[in-house]
Amino acid sequence: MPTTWVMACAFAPSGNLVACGGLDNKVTVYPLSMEDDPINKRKTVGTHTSYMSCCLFPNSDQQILTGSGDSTCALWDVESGQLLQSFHGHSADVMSIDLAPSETGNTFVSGGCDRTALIWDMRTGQKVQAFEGHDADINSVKFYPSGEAIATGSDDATCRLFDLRADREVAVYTKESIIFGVNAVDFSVSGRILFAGYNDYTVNVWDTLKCSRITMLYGHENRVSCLKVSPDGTAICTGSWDFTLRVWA
Amino acid sequence: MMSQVQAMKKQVTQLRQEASVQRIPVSQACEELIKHCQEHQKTDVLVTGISPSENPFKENKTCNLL
Repeated sequence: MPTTWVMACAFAPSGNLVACGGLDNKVTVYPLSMEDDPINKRKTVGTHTSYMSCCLFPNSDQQILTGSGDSTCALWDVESGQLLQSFHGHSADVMSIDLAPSETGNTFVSGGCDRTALIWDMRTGQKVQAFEGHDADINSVKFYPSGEAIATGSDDATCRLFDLRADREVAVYTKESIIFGVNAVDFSVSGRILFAGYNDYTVNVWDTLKCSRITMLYGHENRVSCLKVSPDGTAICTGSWDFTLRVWA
Repeated sequence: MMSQVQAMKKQVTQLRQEASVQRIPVSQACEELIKHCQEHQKTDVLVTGISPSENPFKENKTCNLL
């Protein structure tokens, strides 16, 4: 996109499509190909009434789930561009979404500037559970590998673990010395380790079960804005406002 | 006025639904989280470490012949 800020991007499960969007309020899908310039075949799939903050492909190439600054999430059909389901419940911008790791994958979590994380049923559009506890915007949400808990990272400098079946917060990852907001969280493959990227340019590595910090990763020269553990679990990649992406293994 | 009443009714049904959700005690939930961690810990390289033979980024030892 030549003139607007991109805030989110996602690969389709097949690896043949990329979806992205941002301040243009739209989610646009680009088919990747070696012969054609993807820009020619791009397709605008959906439009929100405010910026799009996050997007992902739930289970297949045919649908896209988006979260937006207009406080809603939406499920779109890629081919027709039709809005299949919309999710109303947040009272402020949605900042992050994540899909539950089950094979059927019918639920997802969204976190927003209203400090709540909500669990949704994709088929009915219903809000299934709500979690409060953060004192500031939630910037990132992630499902625990078993799908039975979620981790959230917030501007209040804490990460929290909420258990879905107990329906409440079960752990807080914080230290008095940590005062900067968390922008991104991700679990290691087993869920034992929680990685969190902060505005103080570091990544804190937490022991999920002991609630203690294992170590810190230094290296970025500006705030860490996004973070992901590799699918085989051997490395993590961090992206930062210092214009670099770093892989840590 | 009517729409306000309807909005309130919707909120009440939503809250009733949320209140009737089956909850398990935190001790049980935590046990299951711990169990999941322990079961998968062996396959989690970031927890158990990688043996030098498999590590593609290990420091290379200098050649002893030279």
